[in-house]
Amino acid sequence: MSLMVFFPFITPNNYYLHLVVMMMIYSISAAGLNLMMGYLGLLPLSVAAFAGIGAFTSANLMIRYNVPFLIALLAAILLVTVIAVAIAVPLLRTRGIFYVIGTLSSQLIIYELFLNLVEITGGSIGLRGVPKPELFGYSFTSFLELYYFIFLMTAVTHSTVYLIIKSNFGRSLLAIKENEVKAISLGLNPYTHKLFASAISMAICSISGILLAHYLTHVSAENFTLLHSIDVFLMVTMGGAGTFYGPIAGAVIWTVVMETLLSFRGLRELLYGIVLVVLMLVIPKGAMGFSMPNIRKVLKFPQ
Amino acid sequence: MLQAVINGVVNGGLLALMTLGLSLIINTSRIPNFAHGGFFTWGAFITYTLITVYQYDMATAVILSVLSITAIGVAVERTIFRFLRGASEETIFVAATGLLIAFTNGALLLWGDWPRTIPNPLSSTLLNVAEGVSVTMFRLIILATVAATVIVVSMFLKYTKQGKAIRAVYQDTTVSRLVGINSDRIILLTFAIGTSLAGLAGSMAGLEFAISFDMGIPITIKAFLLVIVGGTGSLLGTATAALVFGVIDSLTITYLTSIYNNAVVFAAMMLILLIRPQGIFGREVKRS
Repeated sequence: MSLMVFFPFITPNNYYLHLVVMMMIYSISAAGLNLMMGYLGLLPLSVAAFAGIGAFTSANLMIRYNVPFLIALLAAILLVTVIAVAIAVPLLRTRGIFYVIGTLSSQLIIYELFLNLVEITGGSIGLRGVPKPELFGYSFTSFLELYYFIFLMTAVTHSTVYLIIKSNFGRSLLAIKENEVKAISLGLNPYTHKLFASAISMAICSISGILLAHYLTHVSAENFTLLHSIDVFLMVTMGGAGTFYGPIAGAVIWTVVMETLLSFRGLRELLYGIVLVVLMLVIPKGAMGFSMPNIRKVLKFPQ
Repeated sequence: MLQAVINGVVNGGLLALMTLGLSLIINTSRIPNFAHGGFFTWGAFITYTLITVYQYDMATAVILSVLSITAIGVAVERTIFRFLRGASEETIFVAATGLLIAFTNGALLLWGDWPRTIPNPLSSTLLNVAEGVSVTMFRLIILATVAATVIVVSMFLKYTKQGKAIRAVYQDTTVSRLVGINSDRIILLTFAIGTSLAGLAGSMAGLEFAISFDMGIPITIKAFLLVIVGGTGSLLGTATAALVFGVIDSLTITYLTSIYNNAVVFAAMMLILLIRPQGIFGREVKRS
């Protein structure tokens, strides 16, 4: 925590500062997805699509109607929540890999809309000149100000997620994940819980899209592809689903791996694939679920 | 209209091969094999290399490439997925995604990023089916191959001892072990069959259409959707669903919209899932 506060003063250059900002933005998405993955055992692959809806909504509100950032943010989150519920109502009837595929197709449909609704999203070129974030008339323009603003937003989001996880609601989700029939017998309604969790989870993911748009001041459909959804999923899995620190650790690991692989140029993507396979063989439960007995159990030749 | 339907049936046929293999793998081993499209891409490129570089004739090239894809598939199952047998579905999915990325970019490194075509005299011979409707000779061969493969695979599953064992594992892994079926060997066998079907689809697609290193990703997504929509527990169901999908896709592009064609098809699939969550041909399956 304190390292993050003083990081701008010890880092040698702005590039590392930029990396940490991106890391924070990713960690928000990861935390949002973790709510579904770790606490409900459902894997929605539509994270990037909802981040995109949030980003385009708030960017448009600010560019066209000069709406203050805070109101644009809340309006975008509200819209994402509504759409998330509308999509979740039918999809929550499925489960497991079926649910994954259903959300995956909604990601593809929404991405296609991003590409083709040129008036709103700028098509494949995207929107340029998205305003920097501002609070009560004060605009965050310098790099340092932006860093602290996004740090603040990240901290607020993660604290909210922490409160949700530790609340009765969070525990109910775990109970439903553990045994749905028992949860029903305890008087819980799995369907409404799942519906609320989808809405909250996608709303949190949209915050990361909104921050991304206003931080980079340029946003296009290419920021919200299926591969981005898969990246967030990889972060949660690498960090350890179902733990509070897992998604944060995952975002850090992911950024470090991607940056390290940058120096391999052409081989980068190939190595990325191989690193994923190796990571899953060595730490199948992610960094936060790291323990020696686990590794032995998985590496043991079956039968 | 008829032209669009014929084109759709050819595309759907190739998709049916992919879907059939994936459905076998997913249902028997519970491996969400997202790397399936990687075998498809490599099947196409190995056929390309065999024909253009080593000057093999078409039939030999297809057979050799299917065999090498099967070998790669077996190697992948033995070295990666077998060690992940006890892991969660998500973990296996990440590993498979990593494999797909590795396959795709391996193809990019080996064969470059420009689209290729395999010289094939049969794909430039046109046959007139009706007034203004024509089909290339090779597309008919594709359809015949798909039909023959589907029949052979379902006969194999129905009548041979190995096929019956596959169906037993498919229905209940634990009980099939109790009656003495070596489930590891059966899963390896399904993986071999599944990947060889993907390789065959890749070879066929490569001989008729242009090939590129990233051709495997969209077809993997479609095959995955179709396994779900077709329903578990019904191989012919998934094959039929693939054919129908191909035709709907082709008709949408021709008559409705060429911008939103994917959106239309995926929306249709979600609608089907909404009405029949167990798939079109699926039965309600209770799983622990």
